Amino acid sequence: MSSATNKAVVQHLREQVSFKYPQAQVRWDAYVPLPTGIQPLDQVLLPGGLPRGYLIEIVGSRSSGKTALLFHILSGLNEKERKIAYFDFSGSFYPLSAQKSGIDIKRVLVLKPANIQAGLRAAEILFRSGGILVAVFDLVEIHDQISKALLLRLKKSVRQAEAIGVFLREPNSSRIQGNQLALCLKVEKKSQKLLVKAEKGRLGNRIQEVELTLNE
Amino acid sequence: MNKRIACVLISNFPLMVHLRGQPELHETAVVMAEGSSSRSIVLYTNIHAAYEGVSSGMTVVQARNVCPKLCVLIKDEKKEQCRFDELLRKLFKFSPFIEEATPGIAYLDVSGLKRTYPNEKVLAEKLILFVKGEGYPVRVGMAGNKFTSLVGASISDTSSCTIVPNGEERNFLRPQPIQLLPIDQDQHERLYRLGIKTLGQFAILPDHEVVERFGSEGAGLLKLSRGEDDEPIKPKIFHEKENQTKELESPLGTQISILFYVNSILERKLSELARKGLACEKILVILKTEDNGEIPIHISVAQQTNRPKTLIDMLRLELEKVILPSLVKEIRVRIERTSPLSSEQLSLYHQKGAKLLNHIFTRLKRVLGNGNILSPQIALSHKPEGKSQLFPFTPGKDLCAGGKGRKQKAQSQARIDLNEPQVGFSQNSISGFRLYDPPKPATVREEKGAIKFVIADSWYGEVTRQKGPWEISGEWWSEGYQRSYFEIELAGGEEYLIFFDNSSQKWLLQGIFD
Repeated sequence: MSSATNKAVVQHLREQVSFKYPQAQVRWDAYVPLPTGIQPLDQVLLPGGLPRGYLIEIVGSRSSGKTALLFHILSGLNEKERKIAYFDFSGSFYPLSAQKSGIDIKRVLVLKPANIQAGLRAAEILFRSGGILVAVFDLVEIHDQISKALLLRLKKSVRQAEAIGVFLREPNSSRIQGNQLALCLKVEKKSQKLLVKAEKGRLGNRIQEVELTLNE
Repeated sequence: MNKRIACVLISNFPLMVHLRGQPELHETAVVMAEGSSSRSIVLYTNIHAAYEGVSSGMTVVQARNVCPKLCVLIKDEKKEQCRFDELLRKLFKFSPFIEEATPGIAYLDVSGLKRTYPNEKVLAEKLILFVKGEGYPVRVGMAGNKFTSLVGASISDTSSCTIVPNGEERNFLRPQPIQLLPIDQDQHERLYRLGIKTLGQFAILPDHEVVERFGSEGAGLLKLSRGEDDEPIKPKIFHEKENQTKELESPLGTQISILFYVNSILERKLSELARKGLACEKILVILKTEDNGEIPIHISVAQQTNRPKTLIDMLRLELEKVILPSLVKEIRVRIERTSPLSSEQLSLYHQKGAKLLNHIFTRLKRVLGNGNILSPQIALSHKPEGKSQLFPFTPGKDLCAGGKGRKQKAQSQARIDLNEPQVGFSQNSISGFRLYDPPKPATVREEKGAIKFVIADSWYGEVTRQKGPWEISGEWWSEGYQRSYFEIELAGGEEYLIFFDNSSQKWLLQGIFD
């Protein structure tokens, strides 16, 4: 289903709900999209991009292309005045690779917290400052537990800042409870292409698949 | 509005500073010498010494021969500057724009004070009364420009003033002696030999002839003598460095109580600074303990601030590191460095951000610790780990307007690097790269020069494909390195960048393509 069709369907459903329940207070702006700049991906994502004000995750095994996908998404974000916070828990962020993917590294703030709890607290401070558009939590090779209370607080601050929190992880690293996430992008490598499955979360249970070639 | 400038002139100011503190010398012959030796030159004399025949330019020995009861004081520039600054601060109540010419001479912009003072004479009298009350003999001149006001003050008697109406400057200066022109002794003598004894005689000289004889400086002198001095007032900015001590009623032992007292001091001090158009950049808090020990805590902020909360947050962080040996009996807060408050109207970007930046980063530092907030940059190096450099983030320089030099340098370096062929980036177009810094040790099994099996810390695998080697070497001036890089793909699809280090004869994993 194309993006235009998606929008038409959503508009039709809104009209029906408004007609049937005129007194209901429904937030139609619940999923304000933040286009990723990767057109095939934006088309399958229900709001037409990443959902603003929510937590999402990108999951993939080693060498699956999850970091590449993340870098391409970050490079495509068009709000240049807001910064990107990269919480490098594993210490493997490579600025040259990010720059080659098209990210303006001057926009990136790299933070190295001692543990996940400190990272989530710092992210909350940054989101409340209003200057951060995306915070990436690089949990690759990290297996610590994530406090639910801190996650809820983070979720609230992300919502207020209309920003996005992205958890980057491997299937066996620290898990985020599914009901805290608005979207899960599962990445697999298929020959020289990436197979991205958009699934789960609050955007419906339907699994959408898309094949991407990032260097196009 | 016509410009009006008042010149406050205190003759022999360095001598007066000392006499002010020693009233017993008022009736004695006193001179001020440049040093303590007997051959030092006498710089200033009081009226009693002059009456005895002592004059400036004599050596101390010569002066003592003329007047055996002479009291000799030694010049102390630091003290004089300090006293003059003190006086200028007090003169702020007359005008916000005060220029210090030399210690003893100050210009005040008194334009538009008609509503405060009925006329200029009243203002001048109040000025004289005020400075006299501070213990200095003063003369005041008022005119439309600085030079005319200085001449007016110079020709006035002590505790009196000369007021030159606007437009009358040239007429006023005409009969004044040429010695008032700010030129050196040789040039004065030169003018005297030419028969020029008044400013009026100098003012009517043809421009080109004066420029021929005196150079470009001559044109400026002509302007001065004609009453056309258009040099504006250069307001003095005071860099506050004041102590504020709080002796406590009862000793304090908790962090919260110390912060509470420091906060009350800072609130007052910072609001005073803000009124003067200044902001704080650095403070020193000294905690005096009951066992007479002193704990100094230096706090400097990257972005100037007038918010006590920012400084208190930073102080809280520092206090967490300090173990108090006993209770605190005295708190001293000193504002070490100030800077003129930056104008927000001129700043188009990050106004709110710049203001809150310090506060946010103080809180971040508290959570993450020092040195864990970083700014990535690309550096010029052949080693992959050398290309990626993370510098401590400096608020106000990286994300905001400042730090131009380093940013530009980084940009140019990045440009150079991206045009070069990169190790391990040749064909892996779909992958991001994750760097292991430092590289992780690996065990490699080779057969006929090809890598067959790799064992690392938490995994192992058979190599199905390999690319390389890419040879790099460098840093011959230090230990040096020589590496052979390979891209390998394991049976499970994982792709790694691995290298053989010739110096240590070991295989190491540089990173993973992900």
